[in-house]
Amino acid sequence: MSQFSDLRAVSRHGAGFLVARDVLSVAMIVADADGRSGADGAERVIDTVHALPGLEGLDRAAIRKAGLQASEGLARRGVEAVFSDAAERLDARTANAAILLACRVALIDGGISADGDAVLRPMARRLGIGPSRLEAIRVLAARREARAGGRP
Amino acid sequence: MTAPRPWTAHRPRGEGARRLAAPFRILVMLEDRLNLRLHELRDALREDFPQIDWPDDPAVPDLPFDTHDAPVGVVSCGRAALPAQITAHRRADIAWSALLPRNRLTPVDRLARRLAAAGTHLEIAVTSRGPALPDRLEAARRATAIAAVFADLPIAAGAVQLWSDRVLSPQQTIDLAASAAAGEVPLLDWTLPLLFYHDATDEEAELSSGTTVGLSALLGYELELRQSPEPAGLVIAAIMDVAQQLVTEGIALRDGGEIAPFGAEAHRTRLLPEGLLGNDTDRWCLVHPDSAFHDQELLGPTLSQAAPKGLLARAMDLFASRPPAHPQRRGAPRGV
Repeated sequence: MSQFSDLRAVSRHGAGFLVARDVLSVAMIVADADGRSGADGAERVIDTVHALPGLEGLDRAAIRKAGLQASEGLARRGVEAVFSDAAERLDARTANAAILLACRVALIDGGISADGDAVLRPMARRLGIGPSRLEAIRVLAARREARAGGRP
Repeated sequence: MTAPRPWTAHRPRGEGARRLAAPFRILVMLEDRLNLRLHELRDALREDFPQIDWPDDPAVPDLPFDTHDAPVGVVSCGRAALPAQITAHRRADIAWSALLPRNRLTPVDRLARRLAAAGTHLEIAVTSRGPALPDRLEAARRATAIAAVFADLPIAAGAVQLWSDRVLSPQQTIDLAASAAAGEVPLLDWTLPLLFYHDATDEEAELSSGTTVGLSALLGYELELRQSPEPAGLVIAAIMDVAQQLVTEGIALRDGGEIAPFGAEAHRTRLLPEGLLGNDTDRWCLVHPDSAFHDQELLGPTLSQAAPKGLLARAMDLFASRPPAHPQRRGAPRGV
């Protein structure tokens, strides 16, 4: 997306739209590494977003649009380019939200695979999230997922 | 005494004809750098203004546009108008000190401060296929729509319509474009009605005059009302009512004819040819029956006044022998 399209999206959906797209992009990268690739993985990430920090005020339609743009961006530009841009824009709060979402998506199927974990840890590190913080987020994700679906 | 003027419909000439050939230019002031690809702009126009056709044109390539590095772009308008030209400028050479008062803004108003602080502006220029009113309206509509797409961005500070000196906020620009795209003729936004109060020390201080700025971009002439005894608000209402009739109902003014604007008394309609009173384009002048503007002396009698012979003709000669009036000294509008 060019700056023009980003600004149009902000104008329509609010400043949270770009945050949502970055958060969803990070979660989709982890989901893809964890074996949930393509449109199915993107849909699962979009459906798992519930009341994440930084996404307040966005309605479902805006989140869906942000998710579709995230998916298109990953397909068109590649993981590294999309993640680099997201890492630059996300602050500590929204970076936590991105990793939390990634963990929750992985937990839907029981847990993060070794491949998913191999992507998640360095990404968290690049977002400024250390190992202990990451572990805390994993625990939080598990609790939320258990509340949401009765899964462990 | 000069010969009476025949009643003729107005034909644009001189500066008026030049204005009918000129593009509609709108500046959109931006607070930040902007980049895009031209197909994104076309897609945005199709999304925001689906009532207007924005065709693909193989002759208009999908190039990058950047307000700093690639500051020229083109958008196809199909057969409706010549391709829209979009150029970016880093420094705005805009006379805010003249524009702001005309638009009833002060430098401390929020809109004025945002406009003055904007470091970049886009210039959108759309030239009509020809000088006919439908072509001019279509070009104005498209220029307004393109400006609105940019005005909708969070970095837009406002817009200036160069043909009318009209300063608009981003929301006004968007609303105006929506109205025009819906088929309306938003004349109150496409022209700037200016009011002139007369010098309070003048013997005719109760008089007021008004003029349009920008009507000549649509019709080839401006419209004015000189030294009317009516309240200032009615003067503007009368001018804009007649302007709206001219543009939307296709009425034609005749030199020496009459028109009753806004339910008021009939006003004489007189043609003020370009340059006669310092006016830089032709002007149609609405003359209130009790106006202090002595049009018969300055512009010559009209057929309606000259036709009767005998007593009335002699009375007209006597009338013409009065000392000439000096409308400009009394504060009448100069050519804009």
